[in-house]
Amino acid sequence: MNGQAQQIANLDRIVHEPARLSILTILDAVGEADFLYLQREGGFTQGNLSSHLAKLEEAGYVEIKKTFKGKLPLTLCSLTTRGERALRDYSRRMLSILQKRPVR
Amino acid sequence: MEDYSASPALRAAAYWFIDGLPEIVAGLVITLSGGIGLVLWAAGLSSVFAFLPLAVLWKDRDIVDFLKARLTYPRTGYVRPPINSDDVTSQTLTTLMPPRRSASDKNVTHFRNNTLVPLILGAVYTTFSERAWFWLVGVWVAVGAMYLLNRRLERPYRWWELFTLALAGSALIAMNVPLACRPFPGLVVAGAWLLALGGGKLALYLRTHPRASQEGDPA
Repeated sequence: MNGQAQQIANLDRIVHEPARLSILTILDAVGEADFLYLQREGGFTQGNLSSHLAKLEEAGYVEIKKTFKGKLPLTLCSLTTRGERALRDYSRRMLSILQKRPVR
Repeated sequence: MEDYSASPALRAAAYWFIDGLPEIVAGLVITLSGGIGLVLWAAGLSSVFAFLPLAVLWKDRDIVDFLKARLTYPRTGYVRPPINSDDVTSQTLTTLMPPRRSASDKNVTHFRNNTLVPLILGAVYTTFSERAWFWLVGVWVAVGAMYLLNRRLERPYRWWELFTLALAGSALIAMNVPLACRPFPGLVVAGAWLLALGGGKLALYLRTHPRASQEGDPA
């Protein structure tokens, strides 16, 4: 396996999936959002978002907490430090792979 | 929220204005301030206290957030409210750390600096001279500044929204308002303009986003 193929194989699969990457990117930009906002913003179905969030939470990249805003129950999602680090690491690796790509 | 080319942070900041509530709250406060000023001036009292309600504009975020928790978040979801652009500046100055992200990639609102300040200064500016052209210049400069400053940010104005404001401000000249009373009709017009913008947006928002029966929960 050449160096670039090795680099691609080493990409974090949890982050690499487009829907999860979208969730992580949104949370990185906004700090904190609830389930409904993420669903609208990312164009996810309820089940799809739930399953991706569960995977991200399991990996320790996203923290999900149930809370109240006034009387309104909210499912708040935010990036953990580990999630932030994973996203930065992923974007650094991706950039380095893409920068080595031959220019046509 | 229609501009899907914008960054997630800019879209989150724009989301703060989706329902018109920030404009409604600011509009109410500015109209109230102008109204109190007119009453005090008519009663022959010092109208300096009329500016006191404007202090609420430095705490309007809490009021707007309170209203959004009842109107907006149940309908279209919650995202952390944007921080004020002047808070970012003061953070940068006090910590001497440059911001981590570029201006377009932050969940920041410039509403206070780029809309409220030009509106209030535009109204106060008219007290500096009796001349009509002086007033006209102030109105159109304030409106032009608002257009230019906001055009690539989270709350851009359509040209006709600002044109309406400029026309209303210019029309006040015909009322021949005494110099001492001058900022107050301007404040009333500015506040009413914000209220009309916010009210229109709120009506449209409530029509297009009926309240969901329950939270779209379960992660």
